[in-house]
Amino acid sequence: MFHLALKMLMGDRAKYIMLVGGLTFAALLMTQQNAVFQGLLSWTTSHLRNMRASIWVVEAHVDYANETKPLRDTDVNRVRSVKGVDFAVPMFQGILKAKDSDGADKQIMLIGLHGATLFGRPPQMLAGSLQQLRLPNTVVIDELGVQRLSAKGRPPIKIGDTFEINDREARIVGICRTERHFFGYPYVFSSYDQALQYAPRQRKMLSVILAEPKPGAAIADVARAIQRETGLKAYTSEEFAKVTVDYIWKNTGIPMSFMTTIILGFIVGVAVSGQTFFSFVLENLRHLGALKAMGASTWMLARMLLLQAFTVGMIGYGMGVGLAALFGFAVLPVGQPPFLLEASSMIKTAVAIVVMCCFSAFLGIRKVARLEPAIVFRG
Amino acid sequence: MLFRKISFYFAIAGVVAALALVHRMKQRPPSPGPESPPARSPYSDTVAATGLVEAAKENVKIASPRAGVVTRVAVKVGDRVKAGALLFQLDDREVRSRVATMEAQMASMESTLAVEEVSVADWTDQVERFSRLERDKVATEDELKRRQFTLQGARARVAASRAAIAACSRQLEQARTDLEILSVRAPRDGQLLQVNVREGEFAPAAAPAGDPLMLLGDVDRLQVRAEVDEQNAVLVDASQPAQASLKGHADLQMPLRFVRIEPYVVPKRSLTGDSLERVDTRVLQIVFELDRPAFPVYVGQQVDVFIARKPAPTAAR
Amino acid sequence: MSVPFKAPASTPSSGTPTAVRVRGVTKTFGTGDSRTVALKGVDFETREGELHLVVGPSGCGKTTLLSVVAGTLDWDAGEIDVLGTRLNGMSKAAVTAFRGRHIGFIFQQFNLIPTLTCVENVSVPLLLNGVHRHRAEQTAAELLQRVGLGDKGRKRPTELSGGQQQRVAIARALSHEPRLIICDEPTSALDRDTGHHIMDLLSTAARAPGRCVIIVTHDPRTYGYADRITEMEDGRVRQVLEGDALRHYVDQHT
Repeated sequence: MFHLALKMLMGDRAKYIMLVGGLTFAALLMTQQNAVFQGLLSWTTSHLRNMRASIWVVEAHVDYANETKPLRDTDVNRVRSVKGVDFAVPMFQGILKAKDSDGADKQIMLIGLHGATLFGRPPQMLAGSLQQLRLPNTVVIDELGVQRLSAKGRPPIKIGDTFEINDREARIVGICRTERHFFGYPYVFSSYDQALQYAPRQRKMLSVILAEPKPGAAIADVARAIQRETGLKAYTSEEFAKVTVDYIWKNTGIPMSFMTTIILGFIVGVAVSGQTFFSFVLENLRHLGALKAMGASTWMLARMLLLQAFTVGMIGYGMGVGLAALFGFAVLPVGQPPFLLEASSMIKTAVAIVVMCCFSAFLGIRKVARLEPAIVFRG
Repeated sequence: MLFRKISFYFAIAGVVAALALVHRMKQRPPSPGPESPPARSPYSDTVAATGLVEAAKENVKIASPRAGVVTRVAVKVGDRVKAGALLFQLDDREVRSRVATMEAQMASMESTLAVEEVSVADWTDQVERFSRLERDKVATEDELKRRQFTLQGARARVAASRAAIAACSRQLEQARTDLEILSVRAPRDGQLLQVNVREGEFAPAAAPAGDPLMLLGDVDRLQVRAEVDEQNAVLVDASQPAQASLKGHADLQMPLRFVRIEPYVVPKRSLTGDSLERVDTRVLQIVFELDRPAFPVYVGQQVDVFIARKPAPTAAR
Repeated sequence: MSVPFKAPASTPSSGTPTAVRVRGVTKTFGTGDSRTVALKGVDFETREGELHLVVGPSGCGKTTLLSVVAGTLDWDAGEIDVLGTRLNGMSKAAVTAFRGRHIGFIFQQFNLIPTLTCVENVSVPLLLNGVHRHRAEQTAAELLQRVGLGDKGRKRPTELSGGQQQRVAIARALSHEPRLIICDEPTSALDRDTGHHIMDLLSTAARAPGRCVIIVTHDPRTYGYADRITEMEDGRVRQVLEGDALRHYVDQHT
């Protein structure tokens, strides 16, 4: 009987497209919005992935990854003195003013990497060499930097070109790939000592200490030990990411607005799919009545409706996430808008679709259960 | 039921595409790690410090004793010099002419003295002769007395001349000392680590705020001055071993021997070279000696220092 | 599967067993002002091997009677025995199962499922009785052959004429070899010749041993096929005609 149920479902192309279309749209909307939201959230922690380190040691009052409260130079040695720390290096981070070749001011995120080890360097170099950062007045910029620092109507800025950071010359020796910063600043990497030359002088200049645990030591334990012994705040990379995301949740309206869209998508999906499926059931009510008259039990019809609802649901889901994935593949090389598709988002959408299917099927089943087969005599 | 199949395959393809995207987005390039080996502690419990390589005897900052123009620099950077060797010469023409004038004066005074001494000898002879004549009553007593007074006057003039010569010779000596001072000489054996003065430059007499005119040190025996954050000062134990590695070359390691802990905790020296920088950190300085290793080490180089510490009591904080 | 149409034709007699017996059945629809009494104590009987027509003006309660006999509608009072089974007191699920197993339906509007092929439509009662899909479709194809639509098995009902659709419906009603076939105005949507063809098929079907056909109709063309006619009026049985009275009644109305 179930194969007939499927044929009844798909026999009417227009109705089938309506049914699948509604669910596809709902699945697309929820998946895509969730992915954009996740992408945006991931931007807030992109900092932690651009400078890769197991442990980030920051000032005790730093609440999220993009906040800078300086430390004292000697704190590096204090962190190095903690048991379980394999090594620790200083890092500078700061938002500075740069001037492109047109003389227009652009904000950049300057990162000063420990000159000897270049620890925390970006994982992917597209051109040039990071080692040359040890030469004076050299920087490595990211792709966004190329875009931002190039003058309008002229060929893009390239290796060997110079621009100004805080009125000091910076020569480009490399171009790297980074994940976009939440606030949209391009990344500019230099050596730590060089960064101190660029940055306006302050009492304390050290922003972050990047540390790695000894092989075999648990990262979290070492982070706790650093925190206990130095009084600074030590986060594992994952903890810092979580703290940052929590901060965004607590302190901005971004999650709320996305949640609203996603919930609206769900409600619209429930309404549309429920309504379409119910009207599908209503249109087939005569035939369902005939089946009931011919001896199909309510349970049998219920199972048929469930099968139909779930078939539509799964196909709509597949096409919806497929379209969302297409969107994702399309924006992946552009890097904008933010997009991060996670397995959990797909599961969430699937659960939502299942709820919609159950709801739709429930409406239909309720109708069929009350259906008197006698209606088939004289229509 | 072509349509059914198409939609079914679309759905499968959609899920597959989404999973592929999920997989792709999960992938991140691995952490690149340090580009060269970072400074690692060789001990399980450690106090880390930053150190500076120094000459074992503290370096001598050579200054000028007088303000003046440098006329000659006798050495160049890296020269090894003995104690007393000339380093540089200040302009001494004025002092030299003063010495010459003094010497001429001396000569004239000495000739005057010679004349006076002849006069004393003459009058001594006359007094002897007239005292005999007066005893013989050949001359009058008055004649004798006059000659006696004249002799006394001549003697006084000789004494005055001598005193003037002595004074003049002192002045000459001083002028010569002045001359000698204008030649700046090495106070002890050593190597010239810096020479910041050129011929023709004006050397101020006061100690310059920045670099000294010359820096003389003993680089055969080196020492490391390690700075430990005051908060970690309690952890430092003189009996524990220590090791240093050159900044940026963690594989080049040097064992250290404890010499002393400086008893006074000082403000942290800034190595950025900006004199306007203010500091709020004080550091404990620990001096270690080291043997010159096989690889080149230069005075003034920064080193990462790790001092072992007893594991038992954790830091009190 | 036996062959339903080749059963020996026999004239029904009072000696053959009763297939359906209805005693004093009443049925009221609605409550209050909209209350309508559809059946006012109906007695009704059909014997095996009989083609039984129920006739009467619109609203006389004949369709209600049919629904009650088919077990598709609850009734208020009275006793109903179908094929030796008392429907009184049976659960809804049991009635549904009973219906599925023993009763075949033919509707005025055919009620074929438009999105399924003819073979699939015919196979539905078999599938509901747990016959395997492959076997069911095979049987369905054979049945379509019998009603002269062997070449239309893969077609959808909407591609067929009304008569062809009704023949498909007959094949469906017969597919699971039911003992009782209930028809609601099977010819009224069809032209004269097609109607006769359909009635031929149904009267042949009625001749199978242990089977009977009940047809509700007001199409006088069909009267000639009847073994017995029950005429209803205003929720009551007005007269039951058989033998000479039947022949006289048929002559009168055609």
